[in-house]
Amino acid sequence: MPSKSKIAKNNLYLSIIIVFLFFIILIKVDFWKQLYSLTSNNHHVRMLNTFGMCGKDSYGFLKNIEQNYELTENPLIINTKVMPNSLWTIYDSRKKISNSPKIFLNYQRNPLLIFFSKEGKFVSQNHVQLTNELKSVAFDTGGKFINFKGNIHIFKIVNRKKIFIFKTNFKKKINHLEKVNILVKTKEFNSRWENFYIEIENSNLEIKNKINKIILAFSNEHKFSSNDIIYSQDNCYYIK
Amino acid sequence: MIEILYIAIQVIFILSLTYLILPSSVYQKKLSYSLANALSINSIFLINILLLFSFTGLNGIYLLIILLIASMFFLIKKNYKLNINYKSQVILVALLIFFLSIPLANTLDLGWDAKFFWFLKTLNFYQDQGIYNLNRVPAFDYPHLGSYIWSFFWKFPFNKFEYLGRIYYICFYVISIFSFFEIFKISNLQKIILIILTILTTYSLELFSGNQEVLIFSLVLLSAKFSYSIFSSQTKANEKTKIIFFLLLILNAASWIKMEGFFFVSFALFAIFVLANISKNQKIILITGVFLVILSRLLFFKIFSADLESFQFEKTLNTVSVSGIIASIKIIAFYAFVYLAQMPILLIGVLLFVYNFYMYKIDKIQLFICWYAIFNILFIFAAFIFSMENVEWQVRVGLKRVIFQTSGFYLLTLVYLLNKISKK
Repeated sequence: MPSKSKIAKNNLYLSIIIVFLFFIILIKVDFWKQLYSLTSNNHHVRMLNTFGMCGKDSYGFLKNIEQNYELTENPLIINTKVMPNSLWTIYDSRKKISNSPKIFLNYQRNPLLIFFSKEGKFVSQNHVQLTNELKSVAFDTGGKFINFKGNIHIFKIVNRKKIFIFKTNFKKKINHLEKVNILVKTKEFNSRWENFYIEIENSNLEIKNKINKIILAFSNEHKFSSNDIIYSQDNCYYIK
Repeated sequence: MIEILYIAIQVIFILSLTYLILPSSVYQKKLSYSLANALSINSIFLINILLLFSFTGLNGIYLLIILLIASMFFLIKKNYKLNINYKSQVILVALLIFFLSIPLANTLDLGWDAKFFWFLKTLNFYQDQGIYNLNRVPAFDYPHLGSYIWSFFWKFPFNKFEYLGRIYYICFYVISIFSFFEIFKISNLQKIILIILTILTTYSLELFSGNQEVLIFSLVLLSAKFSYSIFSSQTKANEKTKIIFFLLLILNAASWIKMEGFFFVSFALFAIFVLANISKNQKIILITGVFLVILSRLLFFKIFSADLESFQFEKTLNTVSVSGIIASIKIIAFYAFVYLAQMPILLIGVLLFVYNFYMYKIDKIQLFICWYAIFNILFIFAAFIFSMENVEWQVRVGLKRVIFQTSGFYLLTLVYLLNKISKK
């Protein structure tokens, strides 16, 4: 049986370890910084810091609408960058949700999907959402003029398999960033996380090397005119 | 500064309410030899009471009044006295909850699922709307209990900030970890070290972003603890009946918090039914209880005409092929290993499981852990293989959270090892 002094000594060591671990917890949760921020910013400011004014969830913009306009129903919100939409910021469970979109957040009037060259193909670097038409394609040729002749295949990869979305062939003299109309109705490009790929076939290497990036332009599924706008701030709109 | 006061009082309010709603002598003295035990059992009762009340559609203030009257009654009648051990433990529990609540209150961030439906469900209850009204919110078929708890503690006692409701999630998380370590046959100081290490390895702010996984984690941890007690040779037969009752309450709570919660707890109950040394009557109680929980869920779907809209079985089954299943298994297995490496308690659990298997004669507890692991793995693969969306994407965004929910269970391997060592 261990002596009392040995137990006391052992307990002292364990207590020191506990205190030490407590400090590690404080470091892990960034306690002092969080405490300072909590005491120096009120709740509304912290909400704005986390969810944005017009951007991210656009908490500030939506709160302005809630305070300044009488909402008879929960407005249907379209947020083209952040999913899920920001209804939670102003949701009133006693009201229905409107059928048509009333609020547009992070709205891009001309959504573009930009592809950069990578390992023999072009890979999308951003995302578009809520589009319904592929309008045009443009090639960044670094200011040069190219005589394009070949097939363009646009696809995505699902479970490591290519899923083709669009195929076309081109035989055209193209200027730097010249828009070539395509006008295909499609919603296949709407994604907030998927990468899309473009492969150019039957084209000589010189042409491929001249293309720095490819830009696809889309139409928005939901459009509105400036007359429809009740209140706006940057890319956020509240419409009739 | 006032918010810090709110947080501190909220922590005291939750702990006091939980501790006082039911004196531990009601269930059994031996089971409640520690504060953490009493708090965890009372939490299970409180969560089930909240569930029952959520169906009434009544304002939560009536429930609060009932709970406060019950607390006062027990406080006066039973003349509660906290002994010194309790006092030090309660300070430790409260301090840890407070430390973890500050980042939550400052950051305020909500998870994807929370923004999409959990918080909308919470708002529904917060705005005094009943369960019927939930059909206006996405994912009506998803359980509502976690959101109800969130709204209740948002409203009471201060009715100020939504994050005050989420502090309950932190309380339950900390209480369940403290309670779990009661089954270790080691000194209190050693237990505290293990508790803090468990918090250090499992805590992340994301857990309290309004998603419900942390509640399931805590319930699974408690179910692991009580299941272990049933397998333990030191537990008397009459105690086992009460433990089975607690396990059924955990099952009920879990199935009303998240769909998979039902499976994660029922795997343990199924193992108890098959492997544990329990009487025929206890088996009947167990089966009847599980049946009643399933029936209550089915009744809910029937009464509220809710479809399993979030699952879309037809769409899923139509797209299944053998090559697709093999590809999905590869993807799931790959990510499972990646996430396993990111979760220290699970990694330690797996390593200790192998070590225990090699070092000690296979007994019922080892079989129980093995059984649970097999069912858990099968469930995860099945859930993701038959996922309606792109499997890789689903696995990338969801698998870690699913694995996390049962990760606490594998701490039983550590219990097993340390208790074996202490026996020697």
